[in-house]
Amino acid sequence: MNGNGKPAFDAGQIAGLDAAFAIVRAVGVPEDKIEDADRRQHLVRGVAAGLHRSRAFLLVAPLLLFLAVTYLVPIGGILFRSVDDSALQTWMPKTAAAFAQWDGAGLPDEDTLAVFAAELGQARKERTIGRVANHLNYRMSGMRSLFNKTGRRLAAGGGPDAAGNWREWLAQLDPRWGRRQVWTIIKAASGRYTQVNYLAALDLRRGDDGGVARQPEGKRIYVKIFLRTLWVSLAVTLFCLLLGFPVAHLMAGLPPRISNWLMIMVLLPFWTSLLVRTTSWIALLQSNGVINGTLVWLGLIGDDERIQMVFNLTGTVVAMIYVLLPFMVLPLYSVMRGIPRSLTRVAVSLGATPLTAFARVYLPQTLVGVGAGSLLVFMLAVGYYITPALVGGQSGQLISNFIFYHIKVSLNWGFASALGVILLAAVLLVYWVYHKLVGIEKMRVA
Amino acid sequence: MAPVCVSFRKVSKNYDQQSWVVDSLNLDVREGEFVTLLGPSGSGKTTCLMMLAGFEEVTSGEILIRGERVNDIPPHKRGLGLVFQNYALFPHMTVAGNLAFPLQVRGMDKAEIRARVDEALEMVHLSGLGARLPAQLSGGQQQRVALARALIFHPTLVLMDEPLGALDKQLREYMQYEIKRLHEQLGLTVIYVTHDQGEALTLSSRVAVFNEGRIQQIDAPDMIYEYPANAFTAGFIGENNLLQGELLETDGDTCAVGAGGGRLRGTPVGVAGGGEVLLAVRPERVLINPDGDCANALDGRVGDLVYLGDYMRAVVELGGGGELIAKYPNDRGKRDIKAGQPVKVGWHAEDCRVFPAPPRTGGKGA
Repeated sequence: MNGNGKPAFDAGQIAGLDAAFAIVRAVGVPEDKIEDADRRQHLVRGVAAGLHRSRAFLLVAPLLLFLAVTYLVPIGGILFRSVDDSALQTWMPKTAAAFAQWDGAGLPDEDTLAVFAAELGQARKERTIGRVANHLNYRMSGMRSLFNKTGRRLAAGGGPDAAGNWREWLAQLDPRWGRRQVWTIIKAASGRYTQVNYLAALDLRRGDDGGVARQPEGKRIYVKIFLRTLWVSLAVTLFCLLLGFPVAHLMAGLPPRISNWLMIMVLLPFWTSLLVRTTSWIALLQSNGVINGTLVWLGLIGDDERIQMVFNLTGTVVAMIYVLLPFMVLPLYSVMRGIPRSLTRVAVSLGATPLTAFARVYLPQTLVGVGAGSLLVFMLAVGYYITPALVGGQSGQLISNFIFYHIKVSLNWGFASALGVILLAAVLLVYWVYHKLVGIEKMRVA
Repeated sequence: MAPVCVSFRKVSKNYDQQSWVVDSLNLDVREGEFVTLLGPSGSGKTTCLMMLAGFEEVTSGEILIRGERVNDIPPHKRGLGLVFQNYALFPHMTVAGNLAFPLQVRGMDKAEIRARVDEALEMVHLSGLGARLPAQLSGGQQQRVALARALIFHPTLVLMDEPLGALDKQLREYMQYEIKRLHEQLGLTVIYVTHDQGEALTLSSRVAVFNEGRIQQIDAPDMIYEYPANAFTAGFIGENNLLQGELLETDGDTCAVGAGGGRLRGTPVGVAGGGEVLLAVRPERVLINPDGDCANALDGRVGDLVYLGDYMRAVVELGGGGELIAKYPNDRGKRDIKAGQPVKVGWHAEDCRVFPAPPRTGGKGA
């Protein structure tokens, strides 16, 4: 084709096409309609389009790679970590195997205890005991000190004399070794995977009979926090909608010169650090703050009746509404700007009162924006961390603050991961419901 | 004569206390009339319509519908049919839903609504398309739905704001016919806003020519075309040759004007004494090589010559400066006129209208 023996495209393909056209000719399509040149051109165009597509793909490949590394891998990581229970298997493999055999009735037998004691002393010498001890400490507090104390003695050559046995020696060293619960926890950790993080995240636990039971009253924390996060997010979304709708409506109806100024006002908060804006709410809302000060000065409340508005749930809700409001206004504005004003005019001219025209003609067309804005605000609110952390006090903490606590303070990453996965599942559920009600493809953000 | 349906009495409108968008307008529209408000954009015609519909407030003066002052009646209680340029169909409702809307807000019962919707669809030849969404219709179909929706609650007064502006030429002509048919069939009073003079001349019983917030002239289409009352109308409606000149003398029905290097005779319209005047003569009234009894004759030379099939259009460069456009039928006798050839042009005094020259020249023409 181009002289050096390399055809621009595969000769076999052309031969195949020729055969195909021969059949077409045979069934009576006029031959002059199937021009050879046309066919080749079509093929060249197809190849060119293919090249174009793969080039476009190469251009977005870095982004895909970036997303995969920074988004999918961490999510996979927390999914795995939330069920990972391999510490005992990895660092004390023989113990894990022996406890897997134990039937869980009474206390473990001497052979099992001997294996356990030997490996515990070894782990102490190799300084890997901490990994197992920390892991088990999340299941029951005190396990770390118990393991370290026992390991130290074993590594120093401690053990029962010829007449004695491991059970007595251990019980003498620490009475906790005489309790079945301690051994049950070791047995429970002998597998590779565990549901214990999820059970704990839902305020459940394994009962003594092995069945799932609720935590005792005083230890139920997380379901309450999840529900609080849920209703705070819903309340914030609702208030953002109530406050943002009129603003977006106003902006969409004004001439661009004025609405651009309003848009700048809406976006202005983004120019200031979130930290600064959130802490300024403390200055406004605190007991000696601007609002209480004004109310006292006006004589509306007494000096000893100052209202507690910050470092509690009220503070969290107020500050979150403020921070998330632009995320409601922008999608609403974008949708409302696309709705011609003549539609409400025509509705009124057809005899509808302005209220009816609004409800039956204008409002239904804004629903796409209402959905998009609400979804956006709700999603952001559900995972919001910094605002509740700063102004939430004790009662205003949300689930993300607890996730942070377990990652940064208690270092129980497995449990933090389980909380995160439950949150993710809840968000996906909301997304799915939105998709069923409105349709994701109709989402317009800005 | 039919009773008066709509009347504007000294209606004025301004937005900024300075310039009048509508300037003390007086207009009576009678029952069954088709009155078109025609004018360039910004001339106040749409504002008039919106004041009548109730969407714009009247700054001063009053608007009466069948003798009742409507200045303070909200738009939804005026009961007018209104058709907008961009169709303004409700995109989230089906065609039937759009048509049912005005009836639903009037609390009509369902069976009656269904019957009326079917009837309306039939009226605009869209039977069977009731379940479609507006986006699934062509522009012409959408406009017919908009028309049917404005008529379904049987208003007798219908306002249309450039309803055919968004359609292409062929569809526009078809829709003109449709609107005309509905006007006659339903005995409607229509007030129609457009900047398309062809549309205005075709549809209307009377045309009101707007400029700068005032009605320049209101009359039947042929009267507007044949007897423009001032220089604006002469320049705005149709094509016109406008020549500047000086009034020399007036005697009864004709006057003499010095223009184009000669003494020309025309019909005076509101001129007296002397001063600057504007001569207007239609291209189709400009005669090439006129007979001896023609009042006006000038020497010139054929410049551009455009062949239009049934008509020829020639630009004639006048000996005394300036040029004229002449349009003449494609007769055998005139086939030998060629570009560059010297010719005589002329016109009868009654085909030439002489207006006082406006402070600044508006309109088009030579």
